[in-house]
Order: sequence, then C-alpha cells, then structure tokens
Amino acid sequence: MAIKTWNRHVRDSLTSMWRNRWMSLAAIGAVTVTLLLVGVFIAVILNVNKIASDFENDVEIKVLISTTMNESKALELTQKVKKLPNVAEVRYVSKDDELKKVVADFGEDLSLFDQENPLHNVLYVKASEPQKTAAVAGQIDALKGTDDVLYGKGQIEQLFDVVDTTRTIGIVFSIVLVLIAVFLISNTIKLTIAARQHEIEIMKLVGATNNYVRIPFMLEGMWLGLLGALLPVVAMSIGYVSVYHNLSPLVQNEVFSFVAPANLLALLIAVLVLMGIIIGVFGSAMSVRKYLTVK
Amino acid sequence: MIEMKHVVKKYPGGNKALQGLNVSIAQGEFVYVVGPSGAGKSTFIKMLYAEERASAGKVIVNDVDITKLPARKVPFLRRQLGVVFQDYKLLPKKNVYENIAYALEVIEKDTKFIKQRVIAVLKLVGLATKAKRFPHELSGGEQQRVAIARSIVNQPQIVIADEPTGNLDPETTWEIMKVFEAINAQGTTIIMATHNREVVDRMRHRVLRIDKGRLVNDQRGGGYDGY
Repeated sequence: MAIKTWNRHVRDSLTSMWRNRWMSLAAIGAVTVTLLLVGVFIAVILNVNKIASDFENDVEIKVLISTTMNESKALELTQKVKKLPNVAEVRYVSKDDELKKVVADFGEDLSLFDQENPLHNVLYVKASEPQKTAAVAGQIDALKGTDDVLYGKGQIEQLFDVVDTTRTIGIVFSIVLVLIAVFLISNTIKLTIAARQHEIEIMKLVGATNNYVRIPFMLEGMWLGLLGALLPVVAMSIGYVSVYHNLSPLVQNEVFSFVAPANLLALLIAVLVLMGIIIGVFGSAMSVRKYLTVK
Repeated sequence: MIEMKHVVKKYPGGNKALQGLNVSIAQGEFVYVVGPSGAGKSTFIKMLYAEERASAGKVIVNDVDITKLPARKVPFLRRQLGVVFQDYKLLPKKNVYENIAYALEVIEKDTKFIKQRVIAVLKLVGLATKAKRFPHELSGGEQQRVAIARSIVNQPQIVIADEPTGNLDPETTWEIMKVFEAINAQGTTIIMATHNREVVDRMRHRVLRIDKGRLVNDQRGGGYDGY
C-alpha cells in the first residue's frame, strides 16, 4: 500500500476520533477503568507471588555437627555436604558465633555460657529448590558426624501447600480478569463502531475495498486503547512507588519484602499498554468485519 | 456497454422484483427508468453496481458479467461507475470536500490531483463555497448535488442515479437536470430512475418502463406515458 494511503488512513482515524469525540471519550473511559483494575490486580498478584517465594526461599536445613568433631573435621563435612546433589548453598557457623547470635537475640544473661559453650557447630544448608529440602536433609542425615538435621518437617510441607494454592488462585484470577477486560474494552469499541455501520456501508458503495474501510477503524481502536492506557500507567507508577515506600519499612525485619517498583512497573506498563493497543485494534477489526460482510 | 439478459431477482420470502428482464444500453445514452412504485426500478438500478445480485440471468457492465463477480472484486466495479443514491449516502462526519475526495482517495490518486478534481466538480454543481460544510448543514438539494459531484469526480463512463430529483423543489430539479445533461454531453452514459413526469416529458431521452418486474416499454425520445 502506498505511503500516501497510509497517511490518509492515519489522518482519517484521527479526524474521525475527534469528530466522534463523545463516543471516543466514552471508549477511552471504559478502557481506563478496566486497565486500572487490571493494573492494581497485577501489582497485588506479583507481590503475593514474591512474598510466597521469599517464604519458600527462607526454608533451610540446620545441621548440628557432632560435638566430637573438631573444627577441621567439621570443615571436611562441609565440603562433603557441598558435593551432594541439589545442594545450593552451605554456610558453616562455629559454635562460638552461634552463641554470639543467641546472646544478641536473648540477652547478656546467657553469656555465662562463655566458659562452657553447650552449642554445636552448625551448617546451614539450602536446597537448589525449596521442594527438595526434605530429600537433601535425608542425605545429610546419612553422613557420619551429625548429631541432628532440622528443617521444620511437617511445617514446610504445609507452607508449600499454602504457597501453591495462593499461586494457583492468582493465576486463575489473572486469566479471568484479563478476559473480562478484553470483553469490556472490545465491547465498548464495538458500540462506537455499531453507531457508524451506515458509514461503512457508504464507504463500500463508493468503491472502498474492505481493507480500505477497515484500517482507519483499526487505527482508531489503537489510539483509543493507547489513550485509555495512559492514565492507568501514570496512576500505577505514582501509586505503586508511594505504597512501596510506605509499606516497606513496616516489613523490614520480616523474611519477605515487596517487589521493587522498577521491576514491577516495567512489566506493568508493558502489559497495560500492549493490552490497550491489542484489544483496541482487534476489537475494532472484529466489529468492522461484521458490517463489511453485508454487501 | 450495459446488457441485461433474462434477469430474474427473487428476494428471500419469494417476492419477485424482476422477472426476466432484457435490455441493452449503449455508451453515451441518456436513459430514464420509469414505472410505478414497487415495479422493480430500484432493484434494476441496484443490480448495476452489485448492491443486489441477480437470481438468474446475466448483467454485463463494461464487458464483464457481474453476476459472477466475487465480492472482493465488487469495489473495482463500483470505481468504474458513478452512483447517485436515492438517500444521497453522504458520510455524515466528513465535510463536502472530504465526501467527494473520498471516492478518489480509495483509488489512491495523488492529493494534488484530488484537489483539482474536487474543486472542478464543486464548481460544476455550484457548491464551490460550501466545501467545508457538513452534510447536516446543507439543504436536501445541496446534499443531492454533493452526491452528484461525488459520482462524477472519478470521470466514470456510466452514471447511475436513483430518483435524484425525488425530494427537490422544481427549481433545484432543473438545476440538477442541467448538470446531468452537461455530463451526458461529454459522452457519459446516464441511467436515471425517476417518478418525475415533467422532467421526462421536457427533457426527452430514451425511456424504459418497468412494470411488475418486466420491461413493458422501451422508447427513444418517448414521454413519461410512452408517447
């Protein structure tokens, strides 16, 4: 298609949007409200997911090294554990350091134990995937030189269940919400076009091909989607940064944190703008097609 | 140029609008199509630009049998014709200039050429000063003239008009008929469905009378009543 024709399509789409400005405004409004909803929801889902993962990743195995092992033997054990399959991270903490931590947590009274430290040298082990924790713990338990292997048996299985359910619910809700958004937006755009089916008929009667009729409408749908995404993008950017900065200090000492605005907003803006454009373009194309088939 | 052979048109529901119509129209002719309401005039006209398709028979326009024309080629047929619709069919959200230019834009003419042509036809129909008006700001006669301007802007060999003077006062009617005569004088075929006895009697041309879906009279230079 010639460039001049494309220019005409762009010009026609913009003129027509302006001359049907009340319809356009209604359509943009519908897109705005829907995408705002989608935006808030996506932000919530991503954070729930992040928190769930943080909890999962916090799961670690505590290996109490037998008191009969001296420091060098303990380090040998560390190396052995590191070589086991599915082990991601091994951290050795001597019993002296453990005591310092206990004293820091529970107070100076416990510093009495300085003379006779009752604690074990300890290995903190993380599995490559949280779900493999139990298996890794079993393997470590089979090694010589450990007094006990602790990993919250029973509790972590429960945690994984809760996390999985949360994720599934999130995914299902996201799909449902996106479908509702698609329906709402394309329906509004359909209405703006239905009001103009007479125009489509005339265009065809004076010799316009289907594409010639269709393209300006699709472009118009694109502008409507794009303009509709504008406000949600701005609102979410400002809103999320503010919510993040207000809530983050409250959970500073927790095992979880919220998704950083930079990471979340990049994805969110891309999703909102693309949804606006794609639904706008295809919503128009589909409803124009209905009126093109007439004659 | 235009030929119809045994054309039958049945509408869904069994109503037969045309029942075996035969007619042949040569290049440069001016033809009135007359007959009572519901006789099949509009169907006959719509058949020529494929808004309606024949149930049987042949409709040949510019050497092509359009009864077999696939839908995607219909726009190309319409570009060879100028059609003035009974209800004008102007695009409501485009102004006069844009409405006329649209017929040239769809065939991808250059903007400069379009400007020249549109201004020329606007002068011809006497609307040069109303180029920026929108259809709803115009009188019926003015809208009719925009529709005529659009139909001839592409310099088609055939102009088809369905009741082009239907809603006009006598004065405007004569103005518009003069435009058609002028176009015809340049060699353009004109096919005009009309109810206007005065027009047919005063500006004598070939008259096709359709009644009950058949051609009942075909007379060169005949009046409205066939004499």
